[in-house]
Amino acid sequence: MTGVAALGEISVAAEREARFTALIHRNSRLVYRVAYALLRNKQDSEDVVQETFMKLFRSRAWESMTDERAFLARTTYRLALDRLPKRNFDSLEFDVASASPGPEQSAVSMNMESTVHRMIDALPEELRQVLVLSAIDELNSRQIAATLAMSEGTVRTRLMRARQLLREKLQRTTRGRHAK
Amino acid sequence: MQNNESDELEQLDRRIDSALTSYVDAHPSPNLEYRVIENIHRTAYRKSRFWQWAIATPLLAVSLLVVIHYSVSRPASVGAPSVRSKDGSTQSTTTTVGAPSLRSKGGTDQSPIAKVGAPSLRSKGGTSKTLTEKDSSSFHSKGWLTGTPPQSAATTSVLTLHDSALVAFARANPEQLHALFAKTNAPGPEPLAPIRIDDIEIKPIATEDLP
Repeated sequence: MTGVAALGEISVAAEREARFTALIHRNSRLVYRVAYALLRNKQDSEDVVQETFMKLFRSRAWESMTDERAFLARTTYRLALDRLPKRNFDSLEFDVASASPGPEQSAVSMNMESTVHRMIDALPEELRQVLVLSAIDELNSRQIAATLAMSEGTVRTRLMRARQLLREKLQRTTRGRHAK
Repeated sequence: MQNNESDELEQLDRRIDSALTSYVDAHPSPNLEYRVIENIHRTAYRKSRFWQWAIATPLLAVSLLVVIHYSVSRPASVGAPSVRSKDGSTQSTTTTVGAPSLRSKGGTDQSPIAKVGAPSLRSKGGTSKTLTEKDSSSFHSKGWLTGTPPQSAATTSVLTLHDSALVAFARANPEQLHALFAKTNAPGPEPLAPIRIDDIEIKPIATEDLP
């Protein structure tokens, strides 16, 4: 390799690095929010952000992406899933009509917002993911569908189901409070 | 009744939306972006450094070869050949002009010619001794300076103490050395003309006149 070719290689690398730096500035908050929505842990989420950008930089896949938000959200989602503690979804499937005291019952004394947070945490994972991703302003339903690798119809259905479950649980909690 | 139910649902939706917003509302550390960028820089720099080495390494190798080539092709150095004696010690014959220091087994200094430059030799006993003019003439009588070096010196790479002293002496007295060489290599007298002997006539002996 001649010196000129090597210098050319270096300048191309520098230009590529500059473009990637701009990409980080544009999307680091989105990546962090996607990671945090899934992991609910600040340190883990920051680690996922680092990992996401490093992986992208090495793979060069980011140079050919068409929808950068969807692409980044998808990559982040997959990396965050690896860190997500394995949850026993069956145990989290709650029966709306059940009279037995669940985690939401014990949180009656807490303020309403944290009660809803606990309810969201208690949702089945596939519903929770759709719900929290829909709450991120930067993502529309098409991008959420791309992130979760499913159709937009499925996203809408799950979103409706998640909201319905939350509504019912919240209504029951509120009525329980008033009854007391 | 239906209006009340609708209002209640609306209120629930508002609560859910509000709670969802706060649920996903998280802010990364202010320096997270810079940490990520720094990591990327480090990775990129590591890669570009590979290319720098890819260029520099062959250049260094070529330079080294050139230096080695020149140092090998140069004539034998005039000063300071360092020789290792049999006991493994180093002998520097001309560390300084006129006074090379030679170290022998014993660690004593020996100067071949005390008055001229005084190259120093170190002998077994650890004492320094100075070679005299007599020693010098002894070397001379052996013919070492007259172009007939001892065979051992020519065939082995290790110089003996005497060889080293002689070399030191020769370096310290170049004029004398030149004179000796001039004398040795001086052209001899003109070649003699061939001796020509004329024909000698030898007459037969006359026997008639004999008594």
